[in-house]
Amino acid sequence: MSVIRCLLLLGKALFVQLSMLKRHVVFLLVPFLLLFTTDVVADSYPLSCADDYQAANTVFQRIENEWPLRSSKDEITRYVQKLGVHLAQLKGYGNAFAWHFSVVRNLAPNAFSIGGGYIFVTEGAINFAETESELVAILGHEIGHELAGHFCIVQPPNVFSTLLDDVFMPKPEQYQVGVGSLTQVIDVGKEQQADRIALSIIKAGGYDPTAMLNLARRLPLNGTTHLIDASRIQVLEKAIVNLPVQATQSSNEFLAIKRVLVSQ
Amino acid sequence: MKPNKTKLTAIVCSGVLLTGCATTEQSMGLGAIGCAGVGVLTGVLTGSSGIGAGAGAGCMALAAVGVLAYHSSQTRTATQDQQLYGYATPANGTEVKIRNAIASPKSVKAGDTVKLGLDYSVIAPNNTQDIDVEEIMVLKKDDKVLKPLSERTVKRPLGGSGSEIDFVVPAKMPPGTYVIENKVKTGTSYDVRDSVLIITG
Repeated sequence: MSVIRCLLLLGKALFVQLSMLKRHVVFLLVPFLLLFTTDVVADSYPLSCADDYQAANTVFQRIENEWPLRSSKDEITRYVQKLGVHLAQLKGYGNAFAWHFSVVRNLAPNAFSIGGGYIFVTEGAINFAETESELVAILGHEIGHELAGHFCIVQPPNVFSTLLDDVFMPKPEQYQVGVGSLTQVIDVGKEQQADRIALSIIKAGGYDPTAMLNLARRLPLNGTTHLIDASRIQVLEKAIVNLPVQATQSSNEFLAIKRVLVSQ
Repeated sequence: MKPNKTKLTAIVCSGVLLTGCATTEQSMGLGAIGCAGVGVLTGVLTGSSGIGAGAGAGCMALAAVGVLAYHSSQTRTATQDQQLYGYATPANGTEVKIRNAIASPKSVKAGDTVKLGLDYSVIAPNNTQDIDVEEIMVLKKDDKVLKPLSERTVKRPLGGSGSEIDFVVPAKMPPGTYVIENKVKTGTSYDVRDSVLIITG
């Protein structure tokens, strides 16, 4: 694949539209999606654009007003915050954002990011993660969206790139699902990119590389918020097969918050 | 154990209320809570685990002192709730979020009555009718559950809802700081908020 083609694909994937023009504000979120490709992982990321943080902060306020979130002082939130920042640091981006991890009091497994370093994970997702490596896979995917700059509001492509797109590029495969009063936009290309970054984080941290595959196998196929199907699991299996098996143990902190959640 | 209880339920539809109806329900004694675990509470209240362990009659004694009244109403329409808290419709899923939880007065003596209030939002798709919401209030001290105070499933319209119970503090309840853990739940969404109750000597 040529460099130009790669750049065009990336540019297309970065096209995120924050539709805040109407009163019925629609936020675009990117949920975690377990999808691997075998491409080489890039180690530098475009990060945030200028308006990213402001837009994300506005969305965060909305979510905070609408959804039940655990307190930032809560032990589970503090653990997720600490783990998330650690994962970002593994890639050298610990200070790239004011990373802000929130835990949603919802028993359905889901996670999403909104830009500006704001990442949300539900209690259901933490419960769903059987090992700390699986939770790392979930958080790593969302960090991947942030590092890849998937939330930047970019200018529409110019004529030149549009012509090239028509010739060379397939139309982006997107899905929309509703969560709360928010709309999640799932772009397969961006999900793949976030997964590649998540995989690099897992490797850098010495976590179990099969964690994402294990998660994908347990998620319901063709779920409404997780685009998991048989072909994706096959791609994941191919990606994992060449990675060294790394037995890891979950930390005591992880086990402790799992106990707290189970006891509630 | 299913306790005996005397229950009075009144449905009040009044123009004074912003919308909907208010429900008042009275239950005699902690019978509404049930007697299970009363031994624990009795032990705490008396400071003696031995008394608590043998509190066969303790259940009846506590039932005599704890009279609960439950009152609920819609406090905000869906539109008012959206405007007040700054969220938008249409919603795709159902969420509950506690806005306030109080014990009033915050500081009481044993034997006094305290109102335990809860205010929360129910957010759901526009055409949704009433939502089943589970409301749970639990008395805790030092992170340990002493006693469930109220647990019921109620139908709620979209918007803001309020619930309130009158709790008569047992006469033997030792002074100290207690926590009322308030929880609401619908579907996979739930929220928890604590309120503080101080029992003075």
